[in-house]
Parts: sequence; structure tokens; C-alpha cells
Amino acid sequence: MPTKMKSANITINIDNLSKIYRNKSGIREITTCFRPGRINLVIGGNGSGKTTLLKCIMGLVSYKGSIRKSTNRVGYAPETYVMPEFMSVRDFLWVIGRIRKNPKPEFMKGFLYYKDLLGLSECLDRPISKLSNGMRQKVNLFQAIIDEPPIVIMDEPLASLDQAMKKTVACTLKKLSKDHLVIISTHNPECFRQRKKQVYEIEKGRLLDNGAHQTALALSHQS
Amino acid sequence: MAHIRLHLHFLISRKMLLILAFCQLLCLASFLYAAGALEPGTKRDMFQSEMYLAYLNDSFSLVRFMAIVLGVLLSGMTGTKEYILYSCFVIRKRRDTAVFWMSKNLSAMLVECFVVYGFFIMFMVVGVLFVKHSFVISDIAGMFAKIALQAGFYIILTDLLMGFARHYFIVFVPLFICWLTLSADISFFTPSQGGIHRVLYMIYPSVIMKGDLAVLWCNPTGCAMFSLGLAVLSGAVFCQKDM
Repeated sequence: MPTKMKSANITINIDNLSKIYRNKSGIREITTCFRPGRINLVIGGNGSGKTTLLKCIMGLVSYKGSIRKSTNRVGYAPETYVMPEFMSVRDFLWVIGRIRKNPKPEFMKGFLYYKDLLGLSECLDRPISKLSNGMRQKVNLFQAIIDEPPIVIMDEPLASLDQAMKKTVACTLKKLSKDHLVIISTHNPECFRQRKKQVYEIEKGRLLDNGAHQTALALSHQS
Repeated sequence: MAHIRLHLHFLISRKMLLILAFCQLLCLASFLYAAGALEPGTKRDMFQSEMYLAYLNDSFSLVRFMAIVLGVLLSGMTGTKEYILYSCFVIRKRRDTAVFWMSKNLSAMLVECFVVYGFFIMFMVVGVLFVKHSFVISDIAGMFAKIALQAGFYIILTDLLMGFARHYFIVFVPLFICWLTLSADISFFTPSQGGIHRVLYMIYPSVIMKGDLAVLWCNPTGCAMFSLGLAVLSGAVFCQKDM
């Protein structure tokens, strides 16, 4: 594992966050706090507002209320994305690293570690257009964690992955969550079987009883 | 630079390369026709000045039209919802949207400049081979630079319109303006007439041929200020909207 970072001060504080789209969907009056040392799972039905919440945290959409991030070094793997078709995986990651001004040694360390872990070693020099959906998803996850930023946000990270890779990614995120702030939006919370997790359920744009689902899920896993 | 490199990779897709290649070939064919390459050599020898002027005027009209249309298409492409999706890889805070906006427009202008440069090279090669008249390279380069400037104005205009409605169909608005202005008589843009004519002269960068020279037929300061205003407004609209 590359760099280990001090996690004590990494937090995301959300206060009275609302984002309403024209069709009245979105999120309403969400107040919560995301902390490191556990996996933060955001769950909810389709259109409940999970992606909107993550987009607000990333600053990709305008919103009402306040979001205070302790750092702007955030790795984000979106659910829907477009990648440059002609670029090779290596070039794409390299350019993304340059844009985020990642220090070269740190970037290389993460690059070497995660390319093997995610099984991307053989397709690094292939153009992205030649990759399958699953491989593209791996590249998407790779770019988010390559420099191990203090905050990692992933929207449906297990989509399009095979069973073995789902386990690997879940395990990697579990390790990362020990000293990084990891937020995951998912429809499959059962894939994250660790004890230290906090579940945030969103329904119709509102955050339900924060944390109560943790117990319920833990019990369901034991059974 | 990394931002621009990424944008260029997005912009120069297979579809876009085909469109650009088609435009270059179309221009080459038109240059050859305008240069009288199909005419007998004796005719070209007899009417050297006339052939030169015809080549210059015909090529100018075509290149101006092509450059503007390509500029509008490029700008339209960078303004679509699908294109803006990739911002999620580079935006980490709200302020990054401004950098994203700036780099996408710079990339579109860069591609446009390369396209116009390609036209310039083809124009010179065909001209030297088939038009028996001396070419002043600085004048010709100036003509293409002015065309690129006009296309740049359309890139900004299209970007602003795409900012309001991120749909590709919006490119028909600048294309309609382009058709309207190119087909309009030059008297539309004269300062002496007053009213709308004067306003258009002050804000619209029109390029016309006067004899064998391309002239920027507008008030340069007014045009620069208006373009800057459009750009600032476009940036503000883009940054306010959701990614």
C-alpha cells in the first residue's frame, strides 16, 4: 500500500443541504457528517438522490446549504462517465495526475500498486475505445484512488465488475477506509461486509435515521 | 497544458477526424477548381491577374464559410451534456469549473487554428502550382488570420448559447446568424448609416475582400470589447450551471 495519511482531521460536514432539480427530484435538507475509519455507505432506491448528494460534495452542481470538506484532494469515481476514446489508459491516468498536480513519486507508487491489484497491467497501453465496460470501470476506479487522496467518493463502484473483482474492490476500499474517508453510493451494501461501516439511507431526497441501518445490516449479515 | 491535452483527445474523436478530413478534401477540390486547374494552360497564361483575383475571392468565401461552420460545430461539441460529463474527472471544487470552461474553449480555438492553417497550406500549394501570379505570403497569412478571428467570435457565441441550453440543435442559431451576415450586403455594417448598421459595425467582426486584400470590416476596439463581454458572460453562465 502506498502512502499512509493521518486521518484524524478528515471530515465532510454537511449542513442543511438541498438541491432540487426542475422535475422536483433531488435532495432536501440533509445534515450529516462523514468521517474516516469506516466505510460510509449511501443507499437508497433509484432516483432517491444518492448521486446528487455525491455531486454536491464534489462541487459538480450548485446547491443550497453548506458543505465543509477538510481537504479538496478528493478521488471521485462517477457512475456515468465519458473517457477519451483514442487515449491509452496509461496516458489518461498520467494526464489526470498532472491536472490534479499529484506529486510524481506518490503517483507512481499508487500506479504500480493498483495496476496489478485491479488487473490492468496488460491493457495500460491499449486505447480506451478497445476496453470492455468492466475494464473501463476499473480505469474509472483506478483514477479515483491512484494517488490515495484523503477523501475517496465512489458512485456504484461495483457496477460492471465480475464477482472476483467485486471482492477485490470491496476489500481495497475496506483497507482504504481505515485511514481515509471513503463514501460509497451503492445498491449492493451486502458486498461490504466489514463491521466498521455507517449506512446512510436516502429516500425521496431525505436522509433517513442516520446510522440506524448499520445495525440492521450487520444483523442481516450475521444471519 | 494537461487540461488542453485531455480536451484535445476528447475533441479529436474518430467522427470529428472524418468531418475535418472531409472539409479539407472539399476545400482542396474547390481550390483546384478556383485556381483553374481544369482550364487549359494557355487561358491561365492569358488572364493571370483575373485568375489570381478569382482564385483569391472564391477561396476566401469558401474558407470563411468552412472555418465558421467548423468553429460552430467544435464549440457545439464542447458544450453538449455528454462532453461536460467528463468534467467529473477534473473538477474537485466549484472553482475548477472556470478552468474547465477556459481550457475547453482554448482547445476548440486551437483545433480551429490548425484547421485554418491546413486551409492556408493547401491554398498556397494550389496557388503556387496553378495560379501564375506572385503571392505575398504575409497578405495571405493575414487573410487567414482574420478568418480565424471571425471563426473565434463564432466559437464564443456558440459557447454562450450552448451554456443556456446544452443541446446540439442550438448550433443552428449561430449558423443562421452566419448565413444571414455572409449573405447580407456590406452596407449592413457601415458606421455612417447609424442605427442597427452602426451597431453591427461596432460589434460584429466582419471580414471582406477589398481588391486583393482581406479587410477586417468593423470597429476593432468595439468588437474586441463585445467578444470579451460575450466570453465573460459565457463563462459565468457555464460556471453557474450544473455539470
